[in-house]
Amino acid sequence: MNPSTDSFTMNIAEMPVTLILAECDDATRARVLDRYSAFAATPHAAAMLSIRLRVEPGAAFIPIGNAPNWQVRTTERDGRIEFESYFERGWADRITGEGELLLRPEGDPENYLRVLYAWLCLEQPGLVLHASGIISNGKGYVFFGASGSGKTTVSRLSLDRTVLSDDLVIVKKHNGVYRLYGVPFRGDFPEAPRHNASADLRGLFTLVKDTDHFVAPMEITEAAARLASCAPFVMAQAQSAQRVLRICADLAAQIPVRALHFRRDPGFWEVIDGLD
Amino acid sequence: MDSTKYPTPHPQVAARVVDGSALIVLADSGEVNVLNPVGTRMWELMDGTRTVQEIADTICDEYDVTSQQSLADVEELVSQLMGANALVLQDQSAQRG
Repeated sequence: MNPSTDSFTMNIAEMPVTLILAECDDATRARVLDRYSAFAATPHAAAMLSIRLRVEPGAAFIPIGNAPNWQVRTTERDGRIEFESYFERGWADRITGEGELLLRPEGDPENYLRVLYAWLCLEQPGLVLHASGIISNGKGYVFFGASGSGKTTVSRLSLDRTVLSDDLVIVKKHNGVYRLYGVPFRGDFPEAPRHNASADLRGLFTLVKDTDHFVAPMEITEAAARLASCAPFVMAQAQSAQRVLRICADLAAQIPVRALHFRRDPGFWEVIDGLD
Repeated sequence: MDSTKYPTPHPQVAARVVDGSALIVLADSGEVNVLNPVGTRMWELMDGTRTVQEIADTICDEYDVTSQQSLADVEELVSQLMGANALVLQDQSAQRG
């Protein structure tokens, strides 16, 4: 891909977004093209949004303090998404189809794009989930849970399959069926390949580290609650949280959600393969 | 707790009853709280039109529990949900505006 390209359209989970790079420095432009090239849209894909990226020196948008977590502030109102982090500030308007991301030289567009896709998914309906996603024998599986529950471990133990991500995946309804989609965003396993692939979703598993491999059923209510807890960025506002709950309730009713007890070897796949 | 006040969902709370249990998104943390069936029934009654005492009376009628225990249970849930910014206590019924 030509690093002098002035725009780049990515297509994540069949939601094309154009990044206008004309006002970016060469380093930012090259980084964007390198990181997201596997998710390039076909030439005639009509973008849902066109986002203008600019890089300008200046103070951090949020003072660097001692916050325990990386600060990302986002809101949505009447189709307009606002975003702010330390070195990035942006917006996107679903009505006009336009948006802007202002980066400090230290900035990175990744968190903005994560947030943007989280909001876009809600309309589909779908969710960005803090989870690992793996395609095995053409079937999509999601593994989710709190930090430290084993998402990256499961991904590392599944490299003979198609690992979509160890950090974020998209689950989206397509023609009435939930599908699992890869994203280019990186988690704790950055060397893992990011696959621009998708598959029908066949199972969701919360992860429980154990001394043996087995699965346990989960009530729909608990499943919906746990899934909603793994939907980043969009739970702080009542209206969007309400949509997340609705999607999670539907997802838990349509796709089996189970607890996967596993130990640190790939034997859990025998258990999963035996479920079908 | 003043049992003549009217528990009302916080305007910024998201909640949904799924398979008989209420899921309540806690406004501050984004965590999801799951109520048991009795708690779910209490939550359904906390729509701003009933006092704490009226909710406790209804629970007492519908479940095998004493009026004293029912009031204590309702007050405990109200306190928990207020602490999580999921509920507010109003002086007047929502119906009376």
